[in-house]
Amino acid sequence: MLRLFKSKWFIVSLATIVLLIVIGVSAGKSSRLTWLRNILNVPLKPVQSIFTSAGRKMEDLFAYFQDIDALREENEALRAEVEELRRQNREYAELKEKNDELRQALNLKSEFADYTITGANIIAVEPGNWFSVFKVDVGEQDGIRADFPVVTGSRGLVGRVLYADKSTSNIQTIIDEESAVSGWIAKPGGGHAIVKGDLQLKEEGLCKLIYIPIEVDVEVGDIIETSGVGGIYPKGIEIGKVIEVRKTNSELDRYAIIQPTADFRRLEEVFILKSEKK
Amino acid sequence: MKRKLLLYSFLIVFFLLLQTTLLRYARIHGVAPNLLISLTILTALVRNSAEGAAVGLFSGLCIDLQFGTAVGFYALLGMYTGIAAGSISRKIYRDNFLVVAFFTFIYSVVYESVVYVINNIMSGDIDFLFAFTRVILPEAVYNCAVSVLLFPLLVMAGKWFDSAASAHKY
Repeated sequence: MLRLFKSKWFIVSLATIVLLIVIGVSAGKSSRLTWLRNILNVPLKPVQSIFTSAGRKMEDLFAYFQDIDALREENEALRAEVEELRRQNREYAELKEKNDELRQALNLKSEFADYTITGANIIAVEPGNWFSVFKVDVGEQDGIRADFPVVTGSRGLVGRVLYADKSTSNIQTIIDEESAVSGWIAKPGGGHAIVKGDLQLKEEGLCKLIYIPIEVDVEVGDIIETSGVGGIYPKGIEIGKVIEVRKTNSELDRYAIIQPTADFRRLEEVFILKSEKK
Repeated sequence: MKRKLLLYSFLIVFFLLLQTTLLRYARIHGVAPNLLISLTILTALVRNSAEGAAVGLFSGLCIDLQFGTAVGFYALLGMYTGIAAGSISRKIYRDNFLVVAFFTFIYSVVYESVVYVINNIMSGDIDFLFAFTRVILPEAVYNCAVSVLLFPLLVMAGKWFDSAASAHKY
């Protein structure tokens, strides 16, 4: 009997069975194993924060020397753009005033009125080269729950909270292959479509727009917003812009490539929309 | 035993930290090496399958706890990778780092292929050729390079463990 317990194969089978049970228990949305995750995640959080910010500083230092020429050119271009934007801004201010008046008249609420916004820093990314999940430095104790929407400072959609631990949470980005967001093609005669992550496009920080309704004429430059269908994301968050429409064999089977508003390669800080209702 | 526990825990935690933070800045064409699986394979090859399986199990568990949606998946996979890599360890000339690097490459390819297929089999959206040429192959080459750096470390660790064991015996 004792020999059986000491045998290698017995230990391996036992470990396999235990792990299979743990997989079963922890899979899905249940948070029964959150305490287990916290054992590792809570002590690692400060160290990961330091490591990531050190890496960022090093990258910034290298980039500093490479960037000087590029910056000079960019400066020129930006100056021209500032002029153009100033002009547009004046027009915009007029339009906004008009819009506010109309809005009040219709008694509409602002889209994000039901949400409070929490800033978060990225402290770690998932190992391996398959997925695009990252960890941020706020968690359950800051009121973060699974499925809260995540946006950038310029209100481009980043993704959603996959799950929240005590002091950290994992964010699934919209370019992750397992992510699918209901989108709205924002133009007259627009329609619903699905924004999906794709392994081939992920590397370049892009994603796919699939199930485009046959009657909608998608063009390069169209803006895609969240549709509000599905209950995770509020309506009207900008997801990105169509940069290419690809036709496969049939008209029904076409899809578009989307450049997300959020730049996933340069993401450092994100904002989580906390819903008060939940 | 104490020495093994100490060194392996240190390596696993240290590599986990590197992998999730600094390695993000060391990507080549969007691909980073997988330090923890390189460590698992190398431990199994240079030492034996029992140590490889233990390192694979615990480093997998760390990934599961930090990022996994189902805790246990990477732990299970890591353990079997350790056992598989260790099973040939006696048949190869393991003092030669080229031989070890070659098998690190082979096992990295197998490991990442299994991860890809299992994770995508449900979605039915498998583009294995693309995954293989753009992610699996470059990562395996990268792991191979990592293994050359890790090799002397593990050989030294092995001597350190054995000196403790023989001192204990006599």
